[in-house]
Amino acid sequence: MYPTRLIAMCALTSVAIALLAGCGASAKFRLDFSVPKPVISPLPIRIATYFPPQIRTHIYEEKIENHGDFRIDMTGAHEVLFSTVFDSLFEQYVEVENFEEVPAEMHGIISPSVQEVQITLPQQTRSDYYEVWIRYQLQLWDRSGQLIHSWPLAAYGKANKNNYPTLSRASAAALHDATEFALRDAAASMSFYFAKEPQVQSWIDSLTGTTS
Amino acid sequence: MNGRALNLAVILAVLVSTGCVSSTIQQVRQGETGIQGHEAIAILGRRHKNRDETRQNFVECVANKTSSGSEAVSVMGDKAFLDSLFPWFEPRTAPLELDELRRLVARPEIAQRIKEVGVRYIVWIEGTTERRDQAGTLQCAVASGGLPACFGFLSWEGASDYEATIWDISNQITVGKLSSEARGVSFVPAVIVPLPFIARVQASACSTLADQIKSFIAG
Repeated sequence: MYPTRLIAMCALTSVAIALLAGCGASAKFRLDFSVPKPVISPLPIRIATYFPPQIRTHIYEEKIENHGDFRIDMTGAHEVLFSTVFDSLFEQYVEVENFEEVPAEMHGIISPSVQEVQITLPQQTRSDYYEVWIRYQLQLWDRSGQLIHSWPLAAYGKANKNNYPTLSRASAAALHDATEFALRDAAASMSFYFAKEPQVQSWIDSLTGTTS
Repeated sequence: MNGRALNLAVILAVLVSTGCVSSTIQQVRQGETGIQGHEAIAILGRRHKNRDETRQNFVECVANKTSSGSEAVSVMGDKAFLDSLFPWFEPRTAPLELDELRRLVARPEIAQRIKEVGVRYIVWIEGTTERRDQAGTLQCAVASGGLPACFGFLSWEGASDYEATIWDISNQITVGKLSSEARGVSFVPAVIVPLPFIARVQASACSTLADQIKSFIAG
């Protein structure tokens, strides 16, 4: 009799622990990110890119009161995003380790950085969504080192909690996907709107001899 | 005896796992359809809304059922299509109206990529499954013998409402709209052991919508 009771109590305790673990939303993961090559026509410019150390090894960490600890290791993810987009967006594209290394045939240098990352949980917003916002800052210089333009790039991604099984690492999986969608959104915005920034458009026109 | 017991167990399992579901389908045809052996359809979920976006598992369910069984059609999944035409079908960039699709397909690189992937029709799926009118309570506790026991009665109505809009990419027209509604009441009576009678409304809406898509595309 006792072994049966003991097994039942152990099973109940395990279920209770699993339920409690499921209620906590803490998530820690490394973002495994890749983005498809954009189907776009390249702009007739040659660009070098400098990735500052901040964007290469970017890690988001936050302790959200009553909801747990969150850590998203985005090491390498932003580089994959921008290098994939730039490779399609520009006629020629190279990565450089510093500004002195820029090949002579390049028209300019672009450098992205991460300004801010925010996440929200369904429990905070009373919605079904894990949401991620990322704000980048892009800076573009010409060959002489003169700043052409500096502008923000906002990206947003969300993942529906109902697409993930409960009582598992749902918050990590959903936040992973929401972050991935935010990076894809950044790639889409970059592909569409880079040449639509007025200062960038004027600069490209001056290089290609086009009048807008 | 064992055979009878097995039959009884199977009947009980079916009764326990399913509730009654009523489905309604509607169809509006706006153009002729038909599909060649080398052509495919892309089944995509709408994701531009801030709330109530179509759940991914529903879109996958419709894609799987449309590409299998009788009158099966070759289907390109949501993710594969979005990746092939990145970034033109992302939540913020996907065409919402046919005019936007026409402008998109007018771009040589897009037309070429669509030709490469062989997609003739895009099926946009929108809708949700909701749980409403929940009533009753169910309480579980550990009884004096150390074993869990539940008592009470819980019921709710499941409602699935989905609509599929079909675009013919070759002719750049909307060829039709299909809708699938499913309603069902689920309930869980519990006297020590809970016995769930679940109305699988989403699964029903998925099956009926997939069957509709197959027969609609066949023409």
